[in-house]
Amino acid sequence: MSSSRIITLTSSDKVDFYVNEAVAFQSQTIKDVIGDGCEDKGTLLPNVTSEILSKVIEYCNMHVEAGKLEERSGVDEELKAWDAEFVKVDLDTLFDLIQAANYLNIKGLLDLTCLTVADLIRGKTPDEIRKTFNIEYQFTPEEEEELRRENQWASE
Amino acid sequence: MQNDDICMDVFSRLPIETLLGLKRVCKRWHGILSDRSFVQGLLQRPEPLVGFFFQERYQWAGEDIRTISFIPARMEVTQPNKQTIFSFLPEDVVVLGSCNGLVCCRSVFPSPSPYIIVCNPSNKQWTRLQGTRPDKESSYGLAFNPSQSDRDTTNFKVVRVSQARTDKDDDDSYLSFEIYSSQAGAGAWKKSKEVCQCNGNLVKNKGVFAGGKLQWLTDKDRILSFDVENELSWLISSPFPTSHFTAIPEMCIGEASGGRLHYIMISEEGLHVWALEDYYDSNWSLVHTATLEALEEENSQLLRNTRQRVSERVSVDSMPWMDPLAFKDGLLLMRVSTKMMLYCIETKKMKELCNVSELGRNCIFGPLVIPYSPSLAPLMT
Repeated sequence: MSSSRIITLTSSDKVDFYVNEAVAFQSQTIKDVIGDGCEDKGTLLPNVTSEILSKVIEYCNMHVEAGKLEERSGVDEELKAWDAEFVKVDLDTLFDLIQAANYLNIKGLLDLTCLTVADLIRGKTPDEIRKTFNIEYQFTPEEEEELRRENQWASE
Repeated sequence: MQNDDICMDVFSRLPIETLLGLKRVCKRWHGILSDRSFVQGLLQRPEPLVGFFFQERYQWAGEDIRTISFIPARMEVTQPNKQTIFSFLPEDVVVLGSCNGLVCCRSVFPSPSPYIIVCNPSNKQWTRLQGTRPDKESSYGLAFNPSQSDRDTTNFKVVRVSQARTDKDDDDSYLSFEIYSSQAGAGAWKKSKEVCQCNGNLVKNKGVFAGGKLQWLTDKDRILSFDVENELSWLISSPFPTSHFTAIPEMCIGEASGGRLHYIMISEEGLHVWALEDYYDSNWSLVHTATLEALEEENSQLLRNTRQRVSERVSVDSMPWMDPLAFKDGLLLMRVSTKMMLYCIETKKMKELCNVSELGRNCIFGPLVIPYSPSLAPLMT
């Protein structure tokens, strides 16, 4: 087994995180930037706070560990359940996670978080959506009526 | 808050049906959802079936029935049908076919100036096809492959199949094809050099676009297939001879699994579904089978004396008790006696959607039933 080096990641608020190479490389961005075998001098992530970075690392850790398991049966379900718990956070944190996953290019996390938001939208009326996402009501009653009629048959 | 990129990513994971409602949430979302590039991106992904257009036809009268109903394809909730889907068009129409969110229709007869219209009910855009006047006898098919369109134009083709007699010999007839290409502009209808020696008649006559070809069921154990790009016709043999049965079976065709043609047959031996494996060898694989007894057991609330009723149909003139009307992506719409049912081939579960009386008084004879999956493909008027 090759020795797995430790990568240093620094959040925007200057907190250092020490992670295994395998975990850090869940991020395609970090993988591209750091490359193979070179000495790591630490990577600053100006767009990610320590609060979010610690959650991202938690996700990457879990998925690396799950990937190592020889015995596959039941692992996928457990991982799915863990993911479902992982995204039970407030909306602001969820959006921060999406931005971090996007910036760090972690496909699994991006899919998970975006799907979670999509699920929050699905099946809701426009009013309920505005409430969930704290969106201001902008249309006049006439505009709203016009829009409602435009798409009447598809959404009910 | 969310930036536009995040919005687009999230939206791209939602079905068109949901996205249409989201335009009402706020101006920003409306803007994102109307963006041409975003819409173009959505076109490339497969869209789930949302329901079926249903239009009755008179058995004998020459005129058309104007009402079009929409039957939502949902296994969970029974919903009423809506009849104003096409009210955005300039006139009443008869639906001829649908493909990837576009719908092809023609003016109802009688009409002083009939047209073929291609429209998109999701964005209420439509375009009249100039050129040849439509007629009632020909069959039409709409071919729309989203990957062949770009950001600003939607490229589609309409194929018209006409039957003609070879000379005075009554028994022999052949099929000729005319193709309308939206890219061709003026003089857009072109008679194809291709003809097809086929003595059968096209039945349940909506063209199914699968694997780049338009397909129609015939009454002679063959399926007419027309390769739209290469203008080549072919007769595919059906997977099972109808003459094998004592009672007369009923069939329909449809598309599923990303472009594969499927053949559905309901006979005294049950419900069978085949998928076309090899086009030129007419090689089918049986993908689903359920005896009538098994169907009844699984859906005892809805079916009774099924085998007896199906076996009773020994003459072509008598109406089938169980009639498969349309199929797409694993969902089969069928009429069982006076009820419309949705059957999911994966779960073998049947759901009663509505009574035929809710659809009109002429539902039993050959209605036009067309599966619909929405898209936001733009059309210029």
